Amino acid sequence: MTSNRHAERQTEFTLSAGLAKGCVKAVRVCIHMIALAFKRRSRRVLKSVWSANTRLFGSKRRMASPPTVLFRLCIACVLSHGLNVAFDNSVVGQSSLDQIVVRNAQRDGIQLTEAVSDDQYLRRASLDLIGRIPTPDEQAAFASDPDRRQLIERLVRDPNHALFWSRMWTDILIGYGDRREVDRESLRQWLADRIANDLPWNSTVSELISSSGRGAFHGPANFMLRHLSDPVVPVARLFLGVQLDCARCHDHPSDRWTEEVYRNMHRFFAATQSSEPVPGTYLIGDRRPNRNEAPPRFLTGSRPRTSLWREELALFVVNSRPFARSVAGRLWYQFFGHVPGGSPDNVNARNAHDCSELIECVADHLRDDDFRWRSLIREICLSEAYRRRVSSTDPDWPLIPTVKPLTADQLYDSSMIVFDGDAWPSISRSELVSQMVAGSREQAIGDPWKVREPLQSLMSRLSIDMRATNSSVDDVFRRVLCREPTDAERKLARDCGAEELMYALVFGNEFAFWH
Amino acid sequence: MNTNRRMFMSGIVGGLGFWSFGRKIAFASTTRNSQPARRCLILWMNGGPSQFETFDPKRSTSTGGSTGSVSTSIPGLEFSANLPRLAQSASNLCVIRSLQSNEGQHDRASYLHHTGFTPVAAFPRPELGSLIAHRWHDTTLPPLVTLGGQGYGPAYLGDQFLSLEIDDPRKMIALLKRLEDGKSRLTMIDRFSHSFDSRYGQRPVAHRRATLRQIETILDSPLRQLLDVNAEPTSVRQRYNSDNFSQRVLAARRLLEGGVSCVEVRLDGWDTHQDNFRQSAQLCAPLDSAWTTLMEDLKASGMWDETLIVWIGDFGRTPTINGRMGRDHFPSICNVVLAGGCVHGGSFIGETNDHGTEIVDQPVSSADVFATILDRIGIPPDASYQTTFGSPTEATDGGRIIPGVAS
Repeated sequence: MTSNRHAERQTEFTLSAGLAKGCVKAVRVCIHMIALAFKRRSRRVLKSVWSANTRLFGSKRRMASPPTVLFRLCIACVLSHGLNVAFDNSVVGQSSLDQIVVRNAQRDGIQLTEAVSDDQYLRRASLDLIGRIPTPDEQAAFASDPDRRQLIERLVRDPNHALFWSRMWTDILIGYGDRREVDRESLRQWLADRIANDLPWNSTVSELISSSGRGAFHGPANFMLRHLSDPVVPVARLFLGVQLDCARCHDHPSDRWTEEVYRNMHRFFAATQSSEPVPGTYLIGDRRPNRNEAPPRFLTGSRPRTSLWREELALFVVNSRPFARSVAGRLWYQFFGHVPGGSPDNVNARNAHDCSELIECVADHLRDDDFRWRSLIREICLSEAYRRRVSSTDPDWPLIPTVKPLTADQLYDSSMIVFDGDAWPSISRSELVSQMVAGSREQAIGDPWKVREPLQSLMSRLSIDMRATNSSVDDVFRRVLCREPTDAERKLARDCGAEELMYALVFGNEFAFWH
Repeated sequence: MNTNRRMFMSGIVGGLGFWSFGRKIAFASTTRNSQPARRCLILWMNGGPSQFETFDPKRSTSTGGSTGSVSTSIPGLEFSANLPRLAQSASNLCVIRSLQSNEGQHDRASYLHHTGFTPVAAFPRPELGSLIAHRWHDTTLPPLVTLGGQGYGPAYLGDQFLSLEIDDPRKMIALLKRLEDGKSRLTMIDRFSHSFDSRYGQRPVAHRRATLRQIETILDSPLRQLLDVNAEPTSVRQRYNSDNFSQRVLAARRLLEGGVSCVEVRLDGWDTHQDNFRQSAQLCAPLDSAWTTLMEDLKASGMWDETLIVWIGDFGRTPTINGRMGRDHFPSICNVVLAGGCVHGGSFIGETNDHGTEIVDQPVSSADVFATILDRIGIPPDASYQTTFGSPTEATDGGRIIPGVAS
């Protein structure tokens, strides 16, 4: 009885505390909205306020003045937040992503892991966003002011962010091997420009699918030049989360895709051809389809309305819901190292069933931002989920991060930090990349976390000479592993020389992985 | 016997800390009586060798070109004049002149003739060498070595059957020497990353750890000595020319003798869109002499019976000679040559018409050729393998063993 009353009082208390917090939040939301509306004159903000008002308080027929609308929204905020706090104490202040992760973990009986240290968080975020480990100075700065929001803001605006992400996306889009007909650098520069300016990813993809022109002068044309022999499969894998490989020769054994679906899709490219007008430069373009040529059909069965088949396909793709899901899955994969559905090529409504709520939430976020993904990146990097330690009990549960091998670019740029601007002695970036991806060269599209450094690449790196350093054991650990050594490691380090210590840390697994 | 070998192997492999995906789950019994080969040498003719200038000459026809032909030791059979020594030892060779494929692009054709399957990005296939190594590998040496070329990957068999690519044996020797000198440093790596490895011992971490271990194993193996062709007596070295290809064939012979299951040696330059006749002759010279010498050596050392030699390339070349005296890609007709104790020497499979434009007798597919090769190496073509993603698969793409190849 007493305990019951106690519980009641507790609820009352948390409800009132929640309401108070909700008030504060409502005021903040109001100020933020008004500021946004005036500062950017953004119609979208007003529109979304308006639509929220309509959804919550009835039809559009009765016009309400903007202050009334805001007032109503405040009430809604206060109430919803208060109730939220009262009934689900564990999720105070969590983003929608975190709430989903917590809910799904409870459902699946997964033990969520604790947050990593600030040192490790800095290493994670730096590797993910600018493709290298933090310098000792950056570590010191973050240790004295561990403001994550500020850190992420600095990292996404760093020119190295666009550089690193454009390299990674080039690999994802056209694989690792070099080909005569493809100008990698041209594609990479185009992507870097789009990423640096946070341009909408749907228009990026639309251009990749429909571009014509010379690869050397027009970046996006290289995507089609690379995949012209069989464009349907990579387009479906990369942008729709659908695997059509099997359907090329026979009906898919387990999925609904038939050979006919594949052939219908393939006709979108029937008029596309490449040529080599000047030796060494390749051109992609379309002829006009014949009148009696059977028109293509999209996976949904839709037909193009005009004869610009590739452009029509691009529109079908980027306007579809599977596209949003697939981009969501790819971004999640980028940060967490795995993804609901098993593979980033396979994130669709069918495969992500267990965690579809998360994928849908991320996809909605992307759509709301018109596929400008920077705000989503911020949300992911600032989420509790991203900060969690790698789980040893449930290493394959896709909403807790897993270990990721450093890519060749990450390894190269990180070694620049370790060796103070010297990089791997006697290995250039392109050499390191081509050595490390040797086992993955044949793949039409790249997967950064599936690359395994082959034996001989590791062998040749292992044979380098280390320079002796004058730094202390602690400094070497900070520089290479971005953390203090443990007592056991200090003891171990006492028995070996400075060169040996450096060598052991640089080639150890802790340095070679994101964790 | 097979089961024991396999258990022994998995003992070794498991002990090294690998995980083996490509567990063989069924073994159909071989019907042949002859002993299968346990070593394989692949002579990869990169770019697609012309059948007219090698094993299917068409003397005095409009398509035949200017090279001419020589008669072989087998009555009624001729090789191109580029291969006089091989013609003399034709009784050791089984020449397939009727391989037909659909892949006319280098990368796709090269994949097909390394794996026996047309490329499907979502279902990567292991290369021939990985299959052979998976069946026979039992030393601390790398299971398969590619000299001067590129490996195609072990796919579902697992990364321990990845090919060791050696471009320049001399550089590799120097590298191994440097690593041996700094071997104490290598052991330090393990000591420092021990706690990390035990905490995060998941797939990619465990794999890298296994790779590091494998490097230590290789350093303990005789790989460096085997690669060093200078260790051969001068009399032997003189019989091999000094060009890259011949030296690689000699190194390959030493590796096979040492216990490497499969060695691929690549000869570049067969993409003869222009100046086909002169280029083919230049390429055939080292091929002819190194290959014949190798066969002599294998016979002398008693390895002949347990070694299979496979000569193969991307595809054949067109009967039509283009305006630049070249021949273009022609997947419709392609030559493959098998040799070794397990092969019926002096046999010829398939025939093309007088102008070499069509196959008139016994056309075979790439899958058939692979089925035949695997059969000769002791792997039934319908052997079933467990893949990483669940569904079991067969070793070949429905290929049937070509009759008349087995000895």
